[in-house]
Amino acid sequence: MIIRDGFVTNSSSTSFIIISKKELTGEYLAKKIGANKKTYNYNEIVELCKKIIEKGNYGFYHYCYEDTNYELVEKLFGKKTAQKYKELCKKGYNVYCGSISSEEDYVETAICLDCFKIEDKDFYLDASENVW
Amino acid sequence: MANIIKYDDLVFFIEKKKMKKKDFFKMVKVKKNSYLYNIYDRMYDFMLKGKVNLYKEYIKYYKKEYKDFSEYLSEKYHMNEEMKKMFENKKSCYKKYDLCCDQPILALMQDDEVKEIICKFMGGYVYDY
Repeated sequence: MIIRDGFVTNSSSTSFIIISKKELTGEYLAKKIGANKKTYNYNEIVELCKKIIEKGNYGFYHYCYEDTNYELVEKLFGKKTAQKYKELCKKGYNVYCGSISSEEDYVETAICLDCFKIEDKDFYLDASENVW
Repeated sequence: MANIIKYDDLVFFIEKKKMKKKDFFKMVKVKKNSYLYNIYDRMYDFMLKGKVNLYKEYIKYYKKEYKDFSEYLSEKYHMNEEMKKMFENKKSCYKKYDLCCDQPILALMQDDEVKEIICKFMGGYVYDY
């Protein structure tokens, strides 16, 4: 029998990386994930996006922002994302690295539990690094 | 009055005219082929993909086994008189409620604003954890 001593949780966390030519705002990120002003719960989505942007300054789950480099991105997200990171950093794109948790509201929990990527002109998001 | 009931692991509801996927997307208004489009696409499938029309099921498979549609609803689905008042018609459907289906979507469906959309679209809400 193994006895675990210390912090135990059944919560989940997802690390994400967003690389964007434009500096992110809640409205811009909401637009990139598919929301517009007519979307039913638009304000809620914008608020979540603002929170994601803020968390994007703290670093990946279990890491701080300053730890971010090619090797770490490759370790967490794979070669393709690491290559994008390398290529777009050289072009001066903005990089946001953070994590979101399932301990928050339902919309954030849903995104935390999901595993997805968004690739667009001037914008790249990878949220496939789930810890749960 | 709600037109939807969860009973055991089945969700019974009345199929309305505007209940196709395109009608759901008209309500949520997200950009086509975006991440949110994918989310709501999955949500629609969770609620409605694979739905079965009760009357058509009765006619196709159970007409000889049960005296009539009313008996079929009572015996096969254990519907009481109150439930039969709601669902003894040609528009009634059911869909299996599968908790293991799509966890992110089920989490999103607990949000108050999303509950409102679902309530308007389905005629009620039965998707609490």
